[in-house]
Amino acid sequence: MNMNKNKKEEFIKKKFGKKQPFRVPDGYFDDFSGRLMARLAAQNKPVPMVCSLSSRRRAARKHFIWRASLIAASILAAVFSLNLIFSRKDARPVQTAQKPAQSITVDQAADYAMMDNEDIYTDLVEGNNH
Amino acid sequence: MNKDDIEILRLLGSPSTFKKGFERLVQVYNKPLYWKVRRIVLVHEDTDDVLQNTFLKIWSKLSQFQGKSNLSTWIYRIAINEALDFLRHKKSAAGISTDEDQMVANRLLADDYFDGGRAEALLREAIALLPEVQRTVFNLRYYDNMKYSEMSQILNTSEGALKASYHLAVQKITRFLKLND
Repeated sequence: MNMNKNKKEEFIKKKFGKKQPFRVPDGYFDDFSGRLMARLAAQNKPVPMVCSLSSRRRAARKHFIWRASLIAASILAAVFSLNLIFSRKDARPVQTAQKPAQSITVDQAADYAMMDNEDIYTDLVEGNNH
Repeated sequence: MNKDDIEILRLLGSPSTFKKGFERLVQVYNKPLYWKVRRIVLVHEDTDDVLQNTFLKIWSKLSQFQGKSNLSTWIYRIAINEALDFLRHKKSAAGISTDEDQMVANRLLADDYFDGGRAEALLREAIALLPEVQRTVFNLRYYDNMKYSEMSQILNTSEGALKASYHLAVQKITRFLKLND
């Protein structure tokens, strides 16, 4: 397809080259600026406020910094969210594994000491009196 | 950004030197803009009108130039849109039919400011018959050797679509010329 395109382009180039068969009246480009400025003066167009090159560059820099900050903030937010999602996912099986282990230990400890709530209360009161 | 553009923007940046900056802009850009517009509208008098309107528009819009593209790219976009708008209005005002489009070659041959023969007039007719984007892409690429990346900013179209448009334009022009040889 590319070769075909080049062939066709060559056909036009060979036949016509790049010359332009147009002319302009003598002195046209020399007079153009004067005619245009006279037309502008006649229309009394106000001078527009144009930012200087340095302020335009400052604005472009600010724009760049703003966009870079926005991208950085988005990446941080994404990383934080993913971290939160995965840490929750990871925590769930650990919690379910730990819960029975903890309750077994407390129950076993209570059975081993053969203490009930009343014994614990008495111990605490006696401890405070010592 | 080239030296001329930097100097122009420096002068335009201050109200006291704005006029001087604008005159410099006109001096630098009147020729390249003229030829870009002329290849679209073909007739000198129409080109002159479009060119003057383009510079008046540039004056009014300069405060909106934000430097996101080169000054030249921004200026070319205004000129090309102005030229295409001119053709649209001319067509709708005159109710130009396909028959009249086919008379482009004859009109050019009768034009004092057209130097070519019948073959060149037919080439212009082939280009004039293309749809807007294909015509603009062909002119910018074939005559100005403009990069697709710059064209993409001027025409607000992807580089891939522009390459396809150029390919189609070359194909259609060749076919038209062979048929009318």
